[in-house]
Amino acid sequence: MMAAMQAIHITLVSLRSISARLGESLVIAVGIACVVFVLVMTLALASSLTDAIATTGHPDRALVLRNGSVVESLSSLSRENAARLRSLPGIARQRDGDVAVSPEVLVNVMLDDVDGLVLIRGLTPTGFELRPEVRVVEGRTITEGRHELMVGRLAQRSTPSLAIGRHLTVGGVDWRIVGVFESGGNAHESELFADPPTLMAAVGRNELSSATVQLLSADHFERFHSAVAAIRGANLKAERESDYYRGQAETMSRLSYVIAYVVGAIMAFGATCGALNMTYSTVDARTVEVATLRAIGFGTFPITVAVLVESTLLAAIGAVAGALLAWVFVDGNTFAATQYLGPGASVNHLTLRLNVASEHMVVGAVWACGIGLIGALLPAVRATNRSVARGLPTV
Amino acid sequence: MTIPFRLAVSNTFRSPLRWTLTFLATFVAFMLYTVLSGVVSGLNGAIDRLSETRLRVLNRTGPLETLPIAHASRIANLDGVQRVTHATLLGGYYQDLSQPVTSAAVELQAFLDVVPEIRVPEDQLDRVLALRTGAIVGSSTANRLGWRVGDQVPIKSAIWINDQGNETWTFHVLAIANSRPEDDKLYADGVFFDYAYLNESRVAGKDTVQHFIVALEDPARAASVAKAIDQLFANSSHRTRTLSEKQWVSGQLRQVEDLRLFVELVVGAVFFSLLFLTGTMMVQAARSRRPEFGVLKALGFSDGSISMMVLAEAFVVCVGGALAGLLAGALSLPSIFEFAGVPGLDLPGEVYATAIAFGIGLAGLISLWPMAYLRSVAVTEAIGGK
Repeated sequence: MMAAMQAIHITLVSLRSISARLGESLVIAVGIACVVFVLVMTLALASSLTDAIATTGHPDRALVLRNGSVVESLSSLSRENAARLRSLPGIARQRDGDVAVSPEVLVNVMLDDVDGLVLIRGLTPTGFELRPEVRVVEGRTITEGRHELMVGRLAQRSTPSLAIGRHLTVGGVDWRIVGVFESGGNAHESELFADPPTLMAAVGRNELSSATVQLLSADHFERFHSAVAAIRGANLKAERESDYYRGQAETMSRLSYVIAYVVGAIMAFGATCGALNMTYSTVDARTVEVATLRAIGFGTFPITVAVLVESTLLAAIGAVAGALLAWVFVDGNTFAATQYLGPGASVNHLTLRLNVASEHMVVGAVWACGIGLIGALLPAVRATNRSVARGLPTV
Repeated sequence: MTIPFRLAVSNTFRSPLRWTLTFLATFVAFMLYTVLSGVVSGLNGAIDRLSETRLRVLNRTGPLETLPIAHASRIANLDGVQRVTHATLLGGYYQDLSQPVTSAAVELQAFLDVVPEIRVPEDQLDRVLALRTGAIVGSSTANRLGWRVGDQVPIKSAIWINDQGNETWTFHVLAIANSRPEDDKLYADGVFFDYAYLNESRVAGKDTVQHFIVALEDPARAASVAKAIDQLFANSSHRTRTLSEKQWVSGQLRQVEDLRLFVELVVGAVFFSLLFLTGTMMVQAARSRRPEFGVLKALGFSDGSISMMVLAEAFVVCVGGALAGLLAGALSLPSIFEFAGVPGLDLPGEVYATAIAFGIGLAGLISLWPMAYLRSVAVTEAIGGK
């Protein structure tokens, strides 16, 4: 009881005297803020790819690709085979009673007036109905048979010139952007949508790329899968949409992972050293104060607690500042990731949105408080164990 | 060695824990800087060195669409074109997609003539040309995947299906390109094999190629020849877009720009916090040793030589940490390049220079505060108070 009272008193005294040690205290807070900023930023980057891709696939949807195909945009599916899918078991029905099979075409397009590549997906109304996560947020949806495009919000973020009303040349034909859609920041939001037959005619494609199918339930996948494999001479395979996108996430752009994890780990190590050092220096500097407190009768344990509380508090202030900085500067930024199969063969152009989630901030804050605590523990113990006479100034 | 410097060196190690922590933090900061800027400048450097005068003719729609092989002879007849060859990418990968292998079907002899940067020993080339499934493998690819001359390797294609109905193409590694130290490592990546093998065995897209490679008589006329090629096919069903090799690759590497921004943010934050923590350490060290500096002053050391001592201590930590970090970063870069699947390139000299300049700048900056502090301390006060 006595010790607790003492601890509270010393803590209050040392908190009130922070203004006298403003410089040192600020150093801890600012240093920790930098650490937390970088930590939160790397965490956001590391999870952005998994977030974007994992939320694209749903377990109750199936993707039909050419056998051996690993990337949707490089798959091919004939119209006849697409039609044969319609009679397979396990497929749900749409609102109008038709089977929920969406034959789609995906083309890597190099735009004339825009730098870089975009993915254009030919999507019928069925394709939209199949993906309730796709919402038109600006303008309107595309009209069948017209040279019209819808742009994903993230595609627009990475290529700002893709605005409503703008004209693009794709396959030698003039197209107009009529709408913008969002799909929760997932992989589709990096794409552009067009009417499939119009797109195929423009780019000179005879075959579709894939078909997306809404299953009756996730449990119907096995039946559908074996039915697809059994179509004679079609050489097709069905993959659970969630599995397909998980596979893409695993193989996509190792660079992002390298950066996020290697940098994160190295950074965390260095930051811990640095912050330990800072807290160490500042606590060490209070040797005289600690000795004085002990000379007038305070116990070592309450003093240690007070030092720890102060240091952790400063770290927490720094952590909040760092997390807020990361939220302000990093949240909502985009990062481009590409699956690269050699020069001239990059596919899957994804724009990732960096979301600074609350759990990233919590991890950062916990880490920071840990640094504050451990950094103060060692010197606090040392300062309190030193003999009072040696700690006090000789007059 | 002057006395201030010797004192500085022995003082540096007086508080081993504090010194170790500071050194490690500096070391890590510089290692991060080296690795990150190494990756970014490596990618940039690779793009910069690509040819601006050799042209690639692609399908107007996009780089993965094909063109009829018949376009070649029409391009060859154009004014200013010296030689035309073609390449068709396999979209290859080894075992799974996380190990992409740049692999292209080409007319081997013509391709090597147009791209002289890829060099193959004569005897090996003869053996490749004699076998339909023979392949030239770039030395970095061979090292990365552990392939040797004589190996039979399966490469899966993300694009082409063979007449057996599967995506696996088997090659015989008969030549290793650019394995000598003087060869260009930028072109030491990839697998090149005979176009006839692909064309005869694939089930779809026969007699198409992915792009044409055009060597010019006069490099200065690159832009006008590119325009002439695109005009030639303006009304064809397969329209073209002609780009220099540099434009062709850099257009796809949008991520390099984002990467650079990320690196700048990380490095900025790291160095900012480094400045703070080493700065505090220096001030703290100066304060706790005030009496000693008082003694030195009393013995007749000038403010200047005391400042030199402070600076020397800062140097040992900052420049030492910088050099160690630089070394560790440079040593780990090749494996990072390999893991990331980007061609490994030498660290540009300016990365070293900047790191050392940063180290020196840091040492100077963090010495200012303790220097000013010690200068202001009077001898009597310094010796008197503890």
